Amino acid sequence: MSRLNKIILVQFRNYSSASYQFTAAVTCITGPNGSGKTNLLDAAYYLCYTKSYFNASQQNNVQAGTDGFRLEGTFEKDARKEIISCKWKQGKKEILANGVEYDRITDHIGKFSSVMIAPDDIALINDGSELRRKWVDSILSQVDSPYLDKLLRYQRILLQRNAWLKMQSTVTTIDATELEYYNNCMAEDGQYIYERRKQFLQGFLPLLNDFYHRLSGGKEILQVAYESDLSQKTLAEWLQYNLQYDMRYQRTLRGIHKDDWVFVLSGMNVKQYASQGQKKSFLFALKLAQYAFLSKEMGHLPILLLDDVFEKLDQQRIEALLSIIRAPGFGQVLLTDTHEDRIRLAFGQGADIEFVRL
Amino acid sequence: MCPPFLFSKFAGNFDQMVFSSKLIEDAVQEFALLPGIGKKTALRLVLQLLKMDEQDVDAFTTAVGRMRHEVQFCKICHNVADTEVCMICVNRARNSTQVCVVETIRDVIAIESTQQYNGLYHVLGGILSPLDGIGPGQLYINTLHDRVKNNGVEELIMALSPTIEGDTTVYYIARQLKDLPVRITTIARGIAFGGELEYADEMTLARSIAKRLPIENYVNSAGS
Ligand SMILES: [Zn+2]
Repeated sequence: MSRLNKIILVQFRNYSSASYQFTAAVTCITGPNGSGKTNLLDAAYYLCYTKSYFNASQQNNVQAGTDGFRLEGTFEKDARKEIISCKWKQGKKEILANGVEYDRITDHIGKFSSVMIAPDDIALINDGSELRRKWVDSILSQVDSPYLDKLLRYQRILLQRNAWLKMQSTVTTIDATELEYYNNCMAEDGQYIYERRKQFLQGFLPLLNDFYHRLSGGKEILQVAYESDLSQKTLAEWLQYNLQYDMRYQRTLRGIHKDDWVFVLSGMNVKQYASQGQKKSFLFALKLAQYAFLSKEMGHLPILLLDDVFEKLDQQRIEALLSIIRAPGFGQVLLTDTHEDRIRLAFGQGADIEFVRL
Repeated sequence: MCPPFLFSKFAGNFDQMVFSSKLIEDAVQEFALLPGIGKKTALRLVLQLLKMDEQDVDAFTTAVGRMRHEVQFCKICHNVADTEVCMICVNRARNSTQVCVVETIRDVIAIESTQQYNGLYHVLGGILSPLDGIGPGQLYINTLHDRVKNNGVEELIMALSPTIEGDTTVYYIARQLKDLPVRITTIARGIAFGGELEYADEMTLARSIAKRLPIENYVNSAGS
């Protein structure tokens, strides 16, 4: 089990300087809208992954009028303490574990994990494939250390390959030596990523079904179809076979950067046909299955971060969710809500819950 | 607790520097064009020059002017030189069968500073990166081919950045030279280079040149 016992925020978004202790199994952060509840939750996420769950730009994490921020978290894992600090100043990021800087920031990924559920997450079902690739990548990067390196290399080479394809429209004779190198690397990395993504579903699907049934009370069969160009041909074959099209469109048309996952509920495409309620249950099941998958693969319990989820959930799903996160053996939970009473009522008497009032 | 970044909020704003002398202002503006030199530092440098003897300032400006006007690029290795061919290439005591391939003249200076390398150099002028618009035509790859073919080069030591772009360049050169009897090695990897060769400390650099690897360990499927 891993826990976040204390957090310090300096110039992080709306916090100029603040410190909080988390001692109970469940910590509820309450306060009016705009008081920084989500920012505090995101700070915990940031300490696990050295990036925000919500903002791609690091500059957005900095308090207005300042030029950097610092976060420090006191984690506890297997009764051992570790202090993680993240500093960001003028475009430079520095991550330290017990005062020692990592050689590579990616070495930190997978050490402490958390799973966030936030109001806009329904986009994971409704929006385009990029979000689903990012989601799967975020899981596999933690449980398989070569995965992230290969993915980063693949993405960089993809950019170079596309730029190379564009450059060829301006030259008279084509020298394909660089392309040969790009193809070799992409084929190798892409094939590895494909195999890992395929394998991932085998462990993930039973967990997904289990959590959906617990949330909905039903017995529907959930499926996730992995759609990849690489299921028809190897990437090496695609890059060769598709070259004339790649040249014409000046970008790489086939590869794992086009992968997608289709969510299916009792034979029905969830994105197109499921009700709002079914989508909500599906999303929660995806996230809780992610939680269970990570804890199984990594050997420790992630921190569950629930951003404002109780307000928009009906009574039946609240009870189902509570019975899951209050079960023995579940890890630390940090949640936000505008109404302390709603959470007190939901958790009932005798719950191991504390309140942080902003 | 004191927030660590606060002090910079109070740093003076020198964008609005007011000068009583246009001559000083012009000099400050010229210095501020240099990388890493802000207006504040530029002012400090100019005020220092003002304190110096006039002859010393003349020596300074003459050196800068001559450097820019008279410097040449070696026609063999493309390193900086005072003559058509640089001091390294003309030095008969150096091992002309070994050529170290680098990106820029800064890398030559870094490796020369180790005093551990006795071969020659070849400055490519960059590495292959279509994203930055750099293809083989922008680099001195043809002249490298000619040197290997005609000048008895037995070993090429690739000392390029340990990045995708560096690896692509090594692969490219290896393919260009595949029919020539030359051994291609790379400086040892896995040593922290801090991103660029010029920042590597001399000991690290000297070690990595001594512990170089044959190319098969470096570029996958180079000969395919
Ligand atoms: Zn020379």
